[in-house]
Amino acid sequence: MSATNQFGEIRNAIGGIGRGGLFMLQILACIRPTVKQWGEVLRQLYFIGTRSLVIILTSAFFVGMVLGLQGYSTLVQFGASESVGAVVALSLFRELGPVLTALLFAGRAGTSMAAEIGLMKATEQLDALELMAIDPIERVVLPKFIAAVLAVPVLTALFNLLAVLGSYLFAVEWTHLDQGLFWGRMQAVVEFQADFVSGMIKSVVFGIVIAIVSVFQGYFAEPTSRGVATATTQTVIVSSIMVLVLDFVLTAFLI
Amino acid sequence: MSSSETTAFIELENVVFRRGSRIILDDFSLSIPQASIAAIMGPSGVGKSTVLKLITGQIKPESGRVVVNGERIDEMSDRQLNQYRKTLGVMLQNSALFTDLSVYENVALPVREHTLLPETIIRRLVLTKLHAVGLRGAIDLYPRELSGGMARRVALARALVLDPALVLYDEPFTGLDPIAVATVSQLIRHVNAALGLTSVLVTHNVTQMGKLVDLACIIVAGKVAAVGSPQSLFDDKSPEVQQFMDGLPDGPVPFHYPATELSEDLLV
Ligand SMILES: Nc1ncnc2c1ncn2[C@@H]1O[C@H](COP(=O)(O)OP(=O)(O)OP(=O)(O)O)[C@@H](O)[C@H]1O
Ligand SMILES: [Mg+2]
Repeated sequence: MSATNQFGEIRNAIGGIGRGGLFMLQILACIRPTVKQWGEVLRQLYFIGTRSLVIILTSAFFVGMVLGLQGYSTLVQFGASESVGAVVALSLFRELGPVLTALLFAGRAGTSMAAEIGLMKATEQLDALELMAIDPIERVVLPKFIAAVLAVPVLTALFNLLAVLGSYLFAVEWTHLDQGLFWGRMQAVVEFQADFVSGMIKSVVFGIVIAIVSVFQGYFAEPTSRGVATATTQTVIVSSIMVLVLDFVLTAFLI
Repeated sequence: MSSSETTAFIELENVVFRRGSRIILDDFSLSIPQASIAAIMGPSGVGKSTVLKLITGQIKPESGRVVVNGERIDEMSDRQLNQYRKTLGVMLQNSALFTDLSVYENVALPVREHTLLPETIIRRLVLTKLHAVGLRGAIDLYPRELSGGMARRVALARALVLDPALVLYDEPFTGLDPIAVATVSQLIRHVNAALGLTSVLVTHNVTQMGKLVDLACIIVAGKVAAVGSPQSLFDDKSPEVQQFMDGLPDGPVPFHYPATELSEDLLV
C-alpha cells in the first residue's frame, strides 16, 4: 500500500470520528422524557439483551476457567496458588471483562443494529417515516443507540461475575483449592475503586463507541444489499479497532 | 395550457432536476387543480417518481419552483416540511411497510404519532381504512406474510388513515388483481369526492386512468408531452401520445435507457 493511500485512510478515519461525533449530537438532541420513547428504549434493550446474553455469558464462563487454569499453573510454581482468584479478578475487572464484552457485543448486537437500520433504509422504510413527518433518527436510531449504551456496562458486570464463577469452579472444584483462601485473597487484593470502577468506566466508553459506530454505519449505509453487508462488516472492524485503541488510552489515564 | 378556472393546488414551474450530469426534468411545468385526481404517466425511468419526490420535498429542484397550496415546497426548512407532511398521504412505489410492525400497527403508526386519540378511536379508524381495502381480516399479519398486492393495499390504507389534504400514489394498481384494481380505483375516487382532497397518481394503467382521473399528463424526455383530460389524450394526434396510449412498441418514445448502438456494445 502506498504512503498516500495510507494517509488517505487516516484522514478518512479522522473525518469519520468527526462525522460520528456530529451524528451523536444529532441523536442526543432527540431525547425526550416521554413514555413512548423510553418504552421503545426498553423494548430495544430487551432485544439486545436476549441476543447477546447467552453468547456473552458462555464466553465469560470459559474465559474464567482458562484464566483460572493459566493462573494456577503459573502460580503453583511459586507456591502461590491460593492467589489465583485475585489474579483472575484483576485481569478480568481491569481489562478482559470490558474489552471482551465490548468485542462480543459489537459482533453480536452491533452488527444486527447496523443491518436493521441499513435494511430499513434500503427498503425505503426510513423515507416512509420521514414522509409521515416522523423523524427516523428519533424513532429508529435513538432507541437502539441508548439501549446499546446502557447494555454494555451491565453485560460487562455480568461477564465479570460469570468469569469469576468459572475460575472459582476450576480452582475449587478441580484443583481443590480452599474456597476460603480463594475468596479471601481476591478480597484482599482487588480494590473496588482502582480495579472494578476503572473497568466499568472503560465499559461505559466502549458502549458509547460501539453504539455510535453501529447506528452510524447503518444509517449512512448505501441503500443496497451490498451496502448493508458493508455496513455490518465495518461495524465490527471499526468498533473493534476503536475499542482496542481506546483501551490503551484509557488504561494510561486510569492507572 | 388550461390555466386556472379552478385554483391550482400543485404547481411545478420550470423545474430543472438532474441526477449527476443526466438531466431528468428539463424545464418541467405542471399544474394540478384543487380537489382533482391527476395522473402522471410516461415510460419507465422518465422521472414520474421524481416528480412525486419534488412534491413531497424529498428532493429540491436545481431551478424552478414547486408550490403546493400556495407554499414554496422547495424553500421549506426541515421543520416546515414536517408540518406540511402531516397533511400528506404517500403510497410509495415499493409499499415500504414497517417490517417489525403488524399490519394494524403499520396503519396506526401515523395516528399514534400525530394525535392523542384514545385507543378505541384509533382502532376504529384503522379498521375502517383496512376494511375499505379489504384487509380487515389481516390486521395481525406481518408485512413478510403479505403478498405484493396485499402490501400495496395496506400502504394505501396507511396513506389515507389521517385523512390527508393531498395524497400521492406511486403506481397504486401494480400487482393487484382486476377486482382489487377496481376496488382501489373506487376507493381513490371515493376519498377524493368525500374529503375534497387532491390526488396525484403515477400509473401505467391507461384503462383505469381513463375511468378515474380528471387530468393526465404524459412525460417524455423530461418534459410534459401532453396534458389534459383523458379524452383529450385519447384524441391526441401527436405520435408520442398515440404510442403511449395504445401501448405500441415502436414509435418516437424510447424504450431504452440512453445508450450507444447495441452492435457497438456487442462488438467490443
Ligand atoms: N437515487 C438515484 N440516484 C441516481 N439516479 C436516480 C436515482 N433515482 C432515480 N434515478 C434516475 O432518475 C430517473 C427517473 O427515475 P424515476 O424513479 O423518477 O423514474 P420513474 O418514471 O418513476 O420510473 P418507473 O416507472 O420505472 O418507476 C431514472 O432514469 C433513474 O435512473
Ligand atoms: Mg417510479
